[in-house]
Amino acid sequence: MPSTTSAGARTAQPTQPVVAAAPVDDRSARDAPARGGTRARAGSALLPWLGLAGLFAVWALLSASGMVNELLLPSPLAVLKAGADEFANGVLVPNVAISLKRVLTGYALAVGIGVGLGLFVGWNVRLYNAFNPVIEALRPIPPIAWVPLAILWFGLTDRAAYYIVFIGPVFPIFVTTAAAVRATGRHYVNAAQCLGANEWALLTRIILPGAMPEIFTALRVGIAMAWTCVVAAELVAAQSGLGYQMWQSRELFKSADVIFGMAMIGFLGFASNHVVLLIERRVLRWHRGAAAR
Amino acid sequence: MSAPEATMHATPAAGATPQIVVSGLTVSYRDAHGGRPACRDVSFTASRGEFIGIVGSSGCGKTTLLNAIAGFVRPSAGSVVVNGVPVTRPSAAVTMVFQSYALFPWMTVAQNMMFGLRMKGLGAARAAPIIARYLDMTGLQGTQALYPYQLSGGMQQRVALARALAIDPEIVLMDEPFAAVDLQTREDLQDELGGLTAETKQTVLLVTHFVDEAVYLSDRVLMMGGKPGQVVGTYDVQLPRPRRREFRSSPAFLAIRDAVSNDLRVATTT
Repeated sequence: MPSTTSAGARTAQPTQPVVAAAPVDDRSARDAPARGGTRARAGSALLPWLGLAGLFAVWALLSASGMVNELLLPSPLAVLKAGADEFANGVLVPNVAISLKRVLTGYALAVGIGVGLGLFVGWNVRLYNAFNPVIEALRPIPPIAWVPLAILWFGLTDRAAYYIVFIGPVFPIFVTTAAAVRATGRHYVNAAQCLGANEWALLTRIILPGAMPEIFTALRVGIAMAWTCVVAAELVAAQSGLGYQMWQSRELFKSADVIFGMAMIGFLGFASNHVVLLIERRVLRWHRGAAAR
Repeated sequence: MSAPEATMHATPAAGATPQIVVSGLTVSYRDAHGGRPACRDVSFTASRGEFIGIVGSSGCGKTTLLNAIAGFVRPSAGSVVVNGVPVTRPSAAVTMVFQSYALFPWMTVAQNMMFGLRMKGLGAARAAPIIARYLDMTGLQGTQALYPYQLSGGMQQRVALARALAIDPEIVLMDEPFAAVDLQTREDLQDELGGLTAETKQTVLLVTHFVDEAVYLSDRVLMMGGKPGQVVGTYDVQLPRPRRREFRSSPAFLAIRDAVSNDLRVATTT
Protein backbone atom coordinates (compact mmCIF):
# COMPACT_ATOMS: atom_id res chain seq x y z
CA MET A 1 0.00 0.00 0.00
CA PRO A 2 2.60 2.63 0.91
CA SER A 3 4.76 1.64 -2.02
CA THR A 4 2.15 2.51 -4.60
CA THR A 5 1.28 5.73 -2.82
CA SER A 6 4.80 7.08 -2.55
CA ALA A 7 5.76 5.90 -6.03
CA GLY A 8 2.68 7.61 -7.37
CA ALA A 9 3.65 10.82 -5.64
CA ARG A 10 7.13 10.63 -7.08
CA THR A 11 6.11 10.19 -10.67
CA ALA A 12 3.30 12.68 -10.42
CA GLN A 13 5.53 15.57 -9.42
CA PRO A 14 9.10 14.52 -9.95
CA THR A 15 10.90 17.84 -9.75
CA GLN A 16 8.68 19.51 -7.25
CA PRO A 17 9.41 18.87 -3.62
CA VAL A 18 7.57 15.82 -2.49
CA VAL A 19 8.85 16.81 0.91
CA ALA A 20 5.59 17.99 2.29
CA ALA A 21 3.60 15.34 0.51
CA ALA A 22 5.62 12.27 1.40
CA PRO A 23 5.13 12.12 5.15
CA VAL A 24 1.46 12.92 4.73
CA ASP A 25 1.11 10.22 2.10
CA ASP A 26 2.88 7.89 4.40
CA ARG A 27 0.48 8.47 7.21
CA SER A 28 -2.61 8.26 5.07
CA ALA A 29 -1.32 5.01 3.66
CA ARG A 30 -0.80 3.64 7.13
CA ASP A 31 -4.27 4.68 8.14
CA ALA A 32 -5.79 3.27 5.00
CA PRO A 33 -6.75 -0.12 6.46
CA ALA A 34 -8.70 1.68 9.17
CA ARG A 35 -10.95 3.19 6.57
CA GLY A 36 -11.78 -0.33 5.45
CA GLY A 37 -14.45 -0.41 8.16
CA THR A 38 -14.40 0.15 11.88
CA ARG A 39 -16.22 -3.09 12.50
CA ALA A 40 -13.50 -5.16 10.82
CA ARG A 41 -10.85 -3.25 12.78
CA ALA A 42 -12.55 -3.70 16.11
CA GLY A 43 -12.92 -7.39 15.31
CA SER A 44 -9.22 -7.84 14.59
CA ALA A 45 -8.30 -5.98 17.78
CA LEU A 46 -10.43 -8.42 19.75
CA LEU A 47 -9.01 -11.56 18.17
CA PRO A 48 -5.94 -11.95 20.43
CA TRP A 49 -8.16 -11.62 23.51
CA LEU A 50 -10.59 -14.11 22.08
CA GLY A 51 -7.76 -16.62 21.76
CA LEU A 52 -6.73 -16.10 25.38
CA ALA A 53 -10.33 -16.26 26.59
CA GLY A 54 -10.78 -19.52 24.71
CA LEU A 55 -7.75 -21.03 26.41
CA PHE A 56 -9.06 -20.08 29.83
CA ALA A 57 -12.54 -21.35 28.99
CA VAL A 58 -11.28 -24.79 27.93
CA TRP A 59 -9.06 -24.92 31.00
CA ALA A 60 -11.89 -23.90 33.37
CA LEU A 61 -14.29 -26.41 31.76
CA LEU A 62 -11.76 -29.22 32.01
CA SER A 63 -11.09 -28.66 35.70
CA ALA A 64 -14.78 -28.05 36.48
CA SER A 65 -15.85 -31.26 34.71
CA GLY A 66 -13.89 -33.33 37.18
CA MET A 67 -12.33 -35.30 34.33
CA VAL A 68 -8.83 -34.38 35.51
CA ASN A 69 -7.38 -34.58 38.97
CA GLU A 70 -7.57 -31.19 40.71
CA LEU A 71 -4.08 -31.87 42.02
CA LEU A 72 -2.65 -32.15 38.51
CA LEU A 73 -4.65 -29.40 36.83
CA PRO A 74 -6.04 -26.87 39.27
CA SER A 75 -8.69 -24.43 38.02
CA PRO A 76 -7.70 -20.97 36.74
CA LEU A 77 -9.23 -19.50 39.85
CA ALA A 78 -7.08 -21.69 42.10
CA VAL A 79 -3.99 -20.58 40.19
CA LEU A 80 -4.94 -16.92 40.59
CA LYS A 81 -5.51 -17.49 44.29
CA ALA A 82 -2.10 -19.17 44.61
CA GLY A 83 -0.57 -16.11 42.99
CA ALA A 84 -2.42 -13.74 45.30
CA ASP A 85 -1.21 -15.77 48.29
CA GLU A 86 2.39 -15.66 47.06
CA PHE A 87 2.06 -11.91 46.72
CA ALA A 88 0.51 -11.54 50.17
CA ASN A 89 3.22 -13.72 51.75
CA GLY A 90 5.86 -11.48 50.23
CA VAL A 91 7.56 -14.22 48.20
CA LEU A 92 6.35 -13.21 44.73
CA VAL A 93 7.95 -9.77 44.38
CA PRO A 94 11.44 -10.77 45.56
CA ASN A 95 11.39 -13.83 43.30
CA VAL A 96 10.33 -11.77 40.29
CA ALA A 97 12.96 -9.17 41.14
CA ILE A 98 15.78 -11.69 41.41
CA SER A 99 14.81 -13.48 38.19
CA LEU A 100 14.48 -10.16 36.39
CA LYS A 101 17.91 -9.11 37.62
CA ARG A 102 19.43 -12.35 36.33
CA VAL A 103 17.74 -12.01 32.97
CA LEU A 104 18.79 -8.39 32.56
CA THR A 105 22.39 -9.02 33.62
CA GLY A 106 22.89 -12.11 31.47
CA TYR A 107 21.07 -10.58 28.54
CA ALA A 108 23.02 -7.32 28.74
CA LEU A 109 26.26 -9.32 28.68
CA ALA A 110 25.01 -11.33 25.70
CA VAL A 111 24.00 -8.19 23.80
CA GLY A 112 27.25 -6.38 24.53
CA ILE A 113 29.50 -9.28 23.66
CA GLY A 114 27.33 -10.68 20.85
CA VAL A 115 26.94 -7.38 19.02
CA GLY A 116 30.44 -6.12 19.77
CA LEU A 117 32.20 -9.30 18.74
CA GLY A 118 29.84 -9.85 15.80
CA LEU A 119 30.67 -6.40 14.51
CA PHE A 120 34.43 -6.96 14.48
CA VAL A 121 34.32 -10.58 13.38
CA GLY A 122 31.83 -9.81 10.62
CA TRP A 123 33.94 -6.94 9.37
CA ASN A 124 37.33 -8.65 9.40
CA VAL A 125 37.51 -11.64 7.06
CA ARG A 126 40.50 -13.14 8.88
CA LEU A 127 38.84 -12.85 12.27
CA TYR A 128 35.73 -14.38 10.76
CA ASN A 129 37.62 -17.34 9.35
CA ALA A 130 39.34 -17.90 12.69
CA PHE A 131 36.26 -17.41 14.87
CA ASN A 132 33.53 -19.04 12.87
CA PRO A 133 34.50 -22.70 13.44
CA VAL A 134 34.69 -22.10 17.20
CA ILE A 135 31.26 -20.49 17.24
CA GLU A 136 29.73 -23.18 15.07
CA ALA A 137 31.13 -25.85 17.38
CA LEU A 138 29.80 -24.21 20.55
CA ARG A 139 26.49 -23.03 19.14
CA PRO A 140 24.64 -26.38 18.99
CA ILE A 141 25.24 -27.01 22.70
CA PRO A 142 21.93 -26.19 24.39
CA PRO A 143 22.14 -23.68 27.26
CA ILE A 144 20.89 -26.33 29.69
CA ALA A 145 23.95 -28.44 28.89
CA TRP A 146 26.07 -25.63 30.34
CA VAL A 147 24.33 -25.86 33.72
CA PRO A 148 26.58 -28.52 35.32
CA LEU A 149 29.72 -26.71 34.23
CA ALA A 150 28.33 -23.36 35.38
CA ILE A 151 27.69 -24.86 38.83
CA LEU A 152 31.22 -26.28 38.94
CA TRP A 153 32.67 -22.94 37.97
CA PHE A 154 30.53 -20.60 40.01
CA GLY A 155 28.73 -22.73 42.59
CA LEU A 156 25.06 -22.09 43.36
CA THR A 157 25.54 -18.36 42.96
CA ASP A 158 24.00 -15.59 40.91
CA ARG A 159 27.04 -15.75 38.66
CA ALA A 160 26.11 -19.27 37.57
CA ALA A 161 22.67 -17.97 36.61
CA TYR A 162 24.15 -14.95 34.80
CA TYR A 163 26.40 -17.26 32.87
CA ILE A 164 23.59 -19.56 31.76
CA VAL A 165 21.36 -16.64 30.81
CA PHE A 166 24.27 -15.17 28.88
CA ILE A 167 25.19 -18.32 26.99
CA GLY A 168 21.76 -18.78 25.38
CA PRO A 169 21.17 -15.46 23.59
CA VAL A 170 24.81 -14.66 22.85
CA PHE A 171 25.06 -17.09 19.94
CA PRO A 172 22.06 -15.99 17.88
CA ILE A 173 22.95 -12.35 18.54
CA PHE A 174 26.57 -12.87 17.54
CA VAL A 175 25.81 -14.95 14.45
CA THR A 176 23.12 -12.57 13.21
CA THR A 177 25.27 -9.49 13.79
CA ALA A 178 28.25 -10.99 11.98
CA ALA A 179 26.08 -12.07 9.05
CA ALA A 180 24.41 -8.66 8.80
CA VAL A 181 27.78 -6.91 8.89
CA ARG A 182 29.11 -9.17 6.15
CA ALA A 183 26.09 -8.31 4.04
CA THR A 184 26.61 -4.53 4.35
CA GLY A 185 26.14 -2.88 0.97
CA ARG A 186 29.48 -2.21 -0.69
CA HIS A 187 28.24 1.14 -1.96
CA TYR A 188 27.60 2.41 1.59
CA VAL A 189 31.17 1.50 2.53
CA ASN A 190 32.55 3.10 -0.62
CA ALA A 191 30.47 6.22 -0.12
CA ALA A 192 31.62 6.56 3.48
CA GLN A 193 35.27 6.05 2.54
CA CYS A 194 35.26 8.70 -0.15
CA LEU A 195 33.64 11.05 2.36
CA GLY A 196 36.75 10.54 4.48
CA ALA A 197 35.57 7.85 6.94
CA ASN A 198 38.21 6.06 9.01
CA GLU A 199 37.77 2.44 10.15
CA TRP A 200 36.15 3.38 13.44
CA ALA A 201 33.62 5.70 11.86
CA LEU A 202 32.92 3.07 9.24
CA LEU A 203 32.17 0.47 11.93
CA THR A 204 30.15 2.63 14.29
CA ARG A 205 28.33 4.97 11.92
CA ILE A 206 27.85 2.89 8.78
CA ILE A 207 28.21 -0.84 9.41
CA LEU A 208 26.50 -0.97 12.81
CA PRO A 209 23.43 1.14 11.97
CA GLY A 210 23.11 -0.65 8.65
CA ALA A 211 23.03 -3.99 10.48
CA MET A 212 20.58 -2.78 13.12
CA PRO A 213 17.37 -4.14 11.56
CA GLU A 214 18.77 -7.68 11.56
CA ILE A 215 20.36 -7.22 14.97
CA PHE A 216 17.04 -6.24 16.50
CA THR A 217 15.42 -9.38 15.19
CA ALA A 218 18.12 -11.35 17.03
CA LEU A 219 17.66 -9.21 20.15
CA ARG A 220 14.02 -10.24 20.29
CA VAL A 221 14.86 -13.89 19.78
CA GLY A 222 17.49 -13.42 22.47
CA ILE A 223 15.24 -11.93 25.16
CA ALA A 224 12.90 -14.91 24.89
CA MET A 225 15.89 -17.24 25.19
CA ALA A 226 17.06 -15.33 28.26
CA TRP A 227 13.83 -16.21 30.07
CA THR A 228 14.11 -19.84 29.00
CA CYS A 229 17.65 -19.90 30.35
CA VAL A 230 16.91 -18.21 33.66
CA VAL A 231 14.31 -20.85 34.49
CA ALA A 232 16.72 -23.61 33.51
CA ALA A 233 19.34 -22.04 35.76
CA GLU A 234 17.03 -21.51 38.70
CA LEU A 235 15.62 -25.02 38.61
CA VAL A 236 19.02 -26.41 39.59
CA ALA A 237 21.69 -23.78 40.00
CA ALA A 238 20.02 -21.27 42.33
CA GLN A 239 18.32 -20.92 45.69
CA SER A 240 15.92 -18.18 44.67
CA GLY A 241 13.91 -16.81 41.77
CA LEU A 242 10.78 -17.88 39.91
CA GLY A 243 12.28 -21.15 38.66
CA TYR A 244 13.43 -22.12 42.15
CA GLN A 245 10.01 -21.23 43.54
CA MET A 246 8.37 -23.51 40.95
CA TRP A 247 10.69 -26.35 41.81
CA GLN A 248 9.89 -25.93 45.51
CA SER A 249 6.16 -25.87 44.79
CA ARG A 250 6.45 -29.11 42.84
CA GLU A 251 8.07 -30.85 45.79
CA LEU A 252 5.14 -29.72 47.95
CA PHE A 253 2.62 -30.77 45.26
CA LYS A 254 1.42 -27.17 44.98
CA SER A 255 0.54 -27.45 41.31
CA ALA A 256 -1.37 -24.14 41.32
CA ASP A 257 1.84 -22.37 42.30
CA VAL A 258 3.76 -24.21 39.59
CA ILE A 259 1.28 -23.04 36.96
CA PHE A 260 1.26 -19.53 38.36
CA GLY A 261 5.06 -19.46 38.07
CA MET A 262 4.77 -20.55 34.44
CA ALA A 263 2.22 -17.83 33.77
CA MET A 264 4.49 -15.23 35.41
CA ILE A 265 7.41 -16.23 33.19
CA GLY A 266 5.16 -16.12 30.14
CA PHE A 267 3.98 -12.66 31.09
CA LEU A 268 7.45 -11.32 31.91
CA GLY A 269 8.83 -12.75 28.65
CA PHE A 270 5.99 -11.14 26.73
CA ALA A 271 6.50 -7.81 28.48
CA SER A 272 10.26 -7.75 27.95
CA ASN A 273 9.83 -8.63 24.28
CA HIS A 274 7.51 -5.65 24.06
CA VAL A 275 10.10 -3.38 25.65
CA VAL A 276 12.69 -4.48 23.07
CA LEU A 277 10.09 -3.87 20.37
CA LEU A 278 9.49 -0.34 21.63
CA ILE A 279 13.22 0.40 21.60
CA GLU A 280 13.42 -1.09 18.12
CA ARG A 281 10.65 1.18 16.85
CA ARG A 282 12.52 4.17 18.18
CA VAL A 283 15.94 3.20 16.89
CA LEU A 284 14.70 1.98 13.52
CA ARG A 285 12.36 4.84 12.68
CA TRP A 286 14.25 5.26 9.41
CA HIS A 287 13.88 1.59 8.58
CA ARG A 288 10.14 1.31 9.01
CA GLY A 289 9.65 4.10 6.52
CA ALA A 290 12.28 2.80 4.13
CA ALA A 291 10.94 -0.76 4.31
CA ALA A 292 7.39 0.44 3.65
CA ARG A 293 8.38 1.85 0.28
CA MET B 1 32.72 27.82 -33.19
CA SER B 2 35.41 25.39 -34.09
CA ALA B 3 34.47 22.07 -35.50
CA PRO B 4 34.71 19.15 -33.10
CA GLU B 5 38.04 17.51 -33.24
CA ALA B 6 38.44 13.87 -32.52
CA THR B 7 41.81 12.54 -31.56
CA MET B 8 42.86 9.05 -30.66
CA HIS B 9 44.61 10.08 -27.48
CA ALA B 10 43.98 12.65 -24.86
CA THR B 11 46.06 15.77 -24.95
CA PRO B 12 46.82 17.43 -21.64
CA ALA B 13 45.96 21.10 -21.46
CA ALA B 14 49.00 23.06 -22.51
CA GLY B 15 51.14 24.39 -19.69
CA ALA B 16 49.09 23.11 -16.77
CA THR B 17 50.31 20.16 -14.72
CA PRO B 18 47.63 17.51 -14.97
CA GLN B 19 45.87 16.84 -11.69
CA ILE B 20 44.84 13.34 -12.69
CA VAL B 21 47.15 11.17 -14.73
CA VAL B 22 45.77 7.82 -15.81
CA SER B 23 48.34 5.84 -17.71
CA GLY B 24 48.05 2.39 -19.19
CA LEU B 25 45.30 1.54 -16.72
CA THR B 26 44.03 -2.02 -16.87
CA VAL B 27 41.61 -3.35 -14.28
CA SER B 28 40.66 -7.02 -14.18
CA TYR B 29 38.01 -8.51 -11.98
CA ARG B 30 38.68 -11.97 -10.73
CA ASP B 31 36.07 -14.48 -11.75
CA ALA B 32 35.69 -18.16 -12.61
CA HIS B 33 37.68 -17.68 -15.81
CA GLY B 34 40.63 -16.31 -13.91
CA GLY B 35 39.96 -12.68 -14.61
CA ARG B 36 38.65 -10.56 -17.42
CA PRO B 37 39.75 -6.98 -17.85
CA ALA B 38 36.95 -4.42 -17.58
CA CYS B 39 39.12 -1.74 -19.08
CA ARG B 40 42.49 -2.06 -20.80
CA ASP B 41 45.31 0.36 -21.33
CA VAL B 42 43.31 3.51 -20.61
CA SER B 43 45.35 6.70 -20.63
CA PHE B 44 44.27 10.30 -20.22
CA THR B 45 44.93 13.29 -18.06
CA ALA B 46 42.74 15.91 -16.46
CA SER B 47 43.80 19.38 -15.42
CA ARG B 48 42.66 21.09 -12.27
CA GLY B 49 39.18 22.49 -12.69
CA GLU B 50 38.49 20.59 -15.88
CA PHE B 51 35.10 19.00 -16.46
CA ILE B 52 35.39 15.75 -18.39
CA GLY B 53 32.44 13.79 -19.66
CA ILE B 54 32.93 10.08 -20.30
CA VAL B 55 30.53 8.33 -22.67
CA GLY B 56 30.49 4.84 -24.09
CA SER B 57 28.39 1.75 -24.51
CA SER B 58 27.33 -0.29 -21.50
CA GLY B 59 30.00 -2.57 -20.11
CA CYS B 60 32.95 -0.73 -21.58
CA GLY B 61 34.51 -0.10 -18.20
CA LYS B 62 33.44 3.48 -17.50
CA THR B 63 32.40 2.74 -13.95
CA THR B 64 35.51 0.63 -13.41
CA LEU B 65 37.61 3.58 -14.52
CA LEU B 66 35.93 5.80 -11.90
CA ASN B 67 36.30 3.10 -9.25
CA ALA B 68 40.02 2.93 -9.95
CA ILE B 69 40.41 6.71 -9.74
CA ALA B 70 38.44 6.71 -6.47
CA GLY B 71 40.66 3.95 -5.08
CA PHE B 72 37.85 1.39 -4.71
CA VAL B 73 39.66 -1.05 -7.00
CA ARG B 74 43.37 -1.47 -7.60
CA PRO B 75 44.85 -1.39 -11.09
CA SER B 76 45.98 -4.72 -12.52
CA ALA B 77 48.41 -2.77 -14.66
CA GLY B 78 49.20 0.88 -15.19
CA SER B 79 48.54 3.59 -12.66
CA VAL B 80 46.30 6.37 -11.46
CA VAL B 81 48.17 9.38 -10.10
CA VAL B 82 46.33 12.25 -8.43
CA ASN B 83 48.31 15.36 -7.49
CA GLY B 84 51.50 13.44 -8.12
CA VAL B 85 50.64 10.60 -5.72
CA PRO B 86 49.50 7.14 -6.86
CA VAL B 87 46.00 6.32 -5.66
CA THR B 88 46.00 3.28 -3.36
CA ARG B 89 42.82 3.74 -1.34
CA PRO B 90 39.73 5.93 -1.16
CA SER B 91 40.06 9.41 0.29
CA ALA B 92 37.94 12.49 0.70
CA ALA B 93 40.06 14.35 -1.85
CA VAL B 94 38.46 12.27 -4.58
CA THR B 95 34.80 11.81 -3.82
CA MET B 96 32.16 9.98 -5.78
CA VAL B 97 28.50 10.60 -6.50
CA PHE B 98 26.92 7.22 -7.07
CA GLN B 99 24.27 6.19 -9.54
CA SER B 100 22.40 4.58 -6.64
CA TYR B 101 22.88 7.78 -4.58
CA ALA B 102 24.24 5.67 -1.67
CA LEU B 103 22.62 7.95 0.87
CA PHE B 104 22.78 6.43 4.32
CA PRO B 105 19.14 5.54 4.99
CA TRP B 106 19.54 5.71 8.77
CA MET B 107 20.63 9.32 8.63
CA THR B 108 18.54 12.39 7.91
CA VAL B 109 19.50 14.70 5.07
CA ALA B 110 21.45 16.93 7.46
CA GLN B 111 23.15 13.92 9.08
CA ASN B 112 24.12 12.55 5.68
CA MET B 113 25.79 15.87 4.90
CA MET B 114 27.30 16.13 8.36
CA PHE B 115 29.03 12.77 7.98
CA GLY B 116 31.74 13.94 5.61
CA LEU B 117 32.13 17.25 7.42
CA ARG B 118 32.61 15.51 10.75
CA MET B 119 35.23 13.26 9.14
CA LYS B 120 37.03 16.48 8.18
CA GLY B 121 37.04 17.40 11.85
CA LEU B 122 34.29 20.00 11.73
CA GLY B 123 32.00 20.38 14.73
CA ALA B 124 28.27 20.95 14.44
CA ALA B 125 28.65 24.71 14.83
CA ARG B 126 31.10 25.06 11.95
CA ALA B 127 29.32 22.55 9.76
CA ALA B 128 25.84 24.05 10.07
CA PRO B 129 26.41 27.04 7.76
CA ILE B 130 28.10 24.80 5.17
CA ILE B 131 25.19 22.37 5.24
CA ALA B 132 22.72 25.22 4.94
CA ARG B 133 24.63 26.71 2.03
CA TYR B 134 24.77 23.51 0.01
CA LEU B 135 21.14 22.64 0.74
CA ASP B 136 20.30 26.10 -0.49
CA MET B 137 22.40 25.73 -3.64
CA THR B 138 20.74 22.43 -4.50
CA GLY B 139 17.23 23.59 -3.73
CA LEU B 140 16.82 21.37 -0.68
CA GLN B 141 15.77 23.95 1.86
CA GLY B 142 13.60 22.52 4.62
CA THR B 143 14.59 18.90 4.07
CA GLN B 144 17.25 18.71 6.82
CA ALA B 145 15.25 16.55 9.18
CA LEU B 146 13.84 14.17 6.55
CA TYR B 147 15.07 10.67 5.92
CA PRO B 148 16.08 9.70 2.38
CA TYR B 149 13.00 7.51 1.91
CA GLN B 150 10.85 10.58 2.34
CA LEU B 151 12.38 12.22 -0.73
CA SER B 152 11.77 11.71 -4.42
CA GLY B 153 14.54 10.23 -6.57
CA GLY B 154 15.51 13.63 -7.94
CA MET B 155 15.77 15.07 -4.46
CA GLN B 156 17.80 12.11 -3.22
CA GLN B 157 20.21 12.74 -6.08
CA ARG B 158 20.44 16.38 -5.02
CA VAL B 159 21.31 15.31 -1.48
CA ALA B 160 24.01 12.99 -2.83
CA LEU B 161 25.41 15.88 -4.86
CA ALA B 162 25.25 18.32 -1.96
CA ARG B 163 26.83 15.77 0.38
CA ALA B 164 29.75 15.24 -2.01
CA LEU B 165 30.34 18.90 -2.80
CA ALA B 166 29.97 20.07 0.82
CA ILE B 167 33.24 18.42 1.85
CA ASP B 168 34.93 20.48 -0.84
CA PRO B 169 36.75 17.64 -2.60
CA GLU B 170 39.38 18.44 -5.19
CA ILE B 171 37.92 15.94 -7.59
CA VAL B 172 34.33 14.84 -8.00
CA LEU B 173 33.60 11.57 -9.78
CA MET B 174 30.05 11.07 -10.94
CA ASP B 175 28.72 7.73 -12.11
CA GLU B 176 25.60 8.25 -14.21
CA PRO B 177 24.22 10.47 -11.49
CA PHE B 178 21.08 11.48 -13.33
CA ALA B 179 20.21 8.17 -14.97
CA ALA B 180 17.31 7.43 -12.68
CA VAL B 181 15.45 10.74 -12.88
CA ASP B 182 13.08 12.04 -15.54
CA LEU B 183 14.15 14.43 -18.28
CA GLN B 184 12.86 17.59 -16.63
CA THR B 185 14.61 16.86 -13.36
CA ARG B 186 17.73 15.78 -15.19
CA GLU B 187 18.03 19.09 -17.03
CA ASP B 188 17.46 21.01 -13.81
CA LEU B 189 20.14 18.99 -12.06
CA GLN B 190 22.52 19.41 -14.99
CA ASP B 191 22.16 23.18 -14.76
CA GLU B 192 22.72 23.06 -11.02
CA LEU B 193 25.80 20.89 -11.43
CA GLY B 194 27.18 23.08 -14.20
CA GLY B 195 26.69 26.21 -12.11
CA LEU B 196 28.07 24.71 -8.92
CA THR B 197 31.22 23.24 -10.40
CA ALA B 198 32.00 26.37 -12.39
CA GLU B 199 31.81 28.22 -9.11
CA THR B 200 33.82 25.78 -7.01
CA LYS B 201 36.41 25.08 -9.75
CA GLN B 202 36.42 21.42 -8.88
CA THR B 203 37.71 18.83 -11.30
CA VAL B 204 34.82 16.66 -12.43
CA LEU B 205 34.70 13.32 -14.21
CA LEU B 206 31.16 12.56 -15.27
CA VAL B 207 30.26 9.15 -16.62
CA THR B 208 26.99 9.28 -18.49
CA HIS B 209 24.83 7.48 -21.02
CA PHE B 210 23.52 10.78 -22.29
CA VAL B 211 25.64 12.39 -25.00
CA ASP B 212 23.71 15.67 -24.57
CA GLU B 213 24.59 15.77 -20.92
CA ALA B 214 28.28 15.13 -21.55
CA VAL B 215 28.55 17.78 -24.26
CA TYR B 216 26.48 20.33 -22.36
CA LEU B 217 28.54 20.12 -19.19
CA SER B 218 32.06 19.18 -20.26
CA ASP B 219 35.21 20.90 -21.39
CA ARG B 220 36.15 17.64 -22.98
CA VAL B 221 34.30 14.43 -23.78
CA LEU B 222 36.09 11.08 -23.70
CA MET B 223 34.57 8.20 -25.56
CA MET B 224 35.23 4.68 -24.39
CA GLY B 225 34.46 1.59 -26.39
CA GLY B 226 35.21 -2.06 -26.88
CA LYS B 227 35.38 -4.93 -24.45
CA PRO B 228 37.58 -4.51 -22.53
CA GLY B 229 37.03 -0.78 -22.73
CA GLN B 230 39.55 1.68 -24.06
CA VAL B 231 39.49 5.38 -24.83
CA VAL B 232 38.54 5.57 -28.50
CA GLY B 233 38.14 9.31 -28.97
CA THR B 234 38.13 12.72 -27.32
CA TYR B 235 36.13 15.81 -28.23
CA ASP B 236 36.84 19.32 -27.08
CA VAL B 237 33.89 21.52 -26.33
CA GLN B 238 35.52 24.92 -26.51
CA LEU B 239 33.07 27.16 -24.78
CA PRO B 240 33.24 28.75 -21.35
CA ARG B 241 31.33 27.20 -18.47
CA PRO B 242 28.75 27.44 -17.01
CA ARG B 243 26.66 27.30 -20.12
CA ARG B 244 23.17 28.52 -20.57
CA ARG B 245 20.19 26.54 -21.67
CA GLU B 246 20.25 28.20 -25.07
CA PHE B 247 23.50 26.37 -25.71
CA ARG B 248 21.52 23.17 -26.01
CA SER B 249 19.98 24.37 -29.27
CA SER B 250 23.03 26.16 -30.68
CA PRO B 251 24.67 24.88 -33.90
CA ALA B 252 27.97 24.35 -32.06
CA PHE B 253 26.35 22.12 -29.48
CA LEU B 254 24.41 20.17 -32.07
CA ALA B 255 27.49 19.65 -34.24
CA ILE B 256 29.54 18.18 -31.42
CA ARG B 257 26.64 16.17 -30.10
CA ASP B 258 25.96 14.64 -33.51
CA ALA B 259 29.61 13.84 -34.02
CA VAL B 260 29.82 12.11 -30.65
CA SER B 261 26.53 10.28 -31.20
CA ASN B 262 27.58 9.05 -34.63
CA ASP B 263 30.96 7.86 -33.41
CA LEU B 264 29.29 6.20 -30.45
CA ARG B 265 26.96 4.33 -32.77
CA VAL B 266 29.90 3.19 -34.88
CA ALA B 267 31.88 2.20 -31.79
CA THR B 268 28.95 0.23 -30.43
CA THR B 269 28.11 -1.66 -33.60
CA THR B 270 31.66 -2.67 -34.49
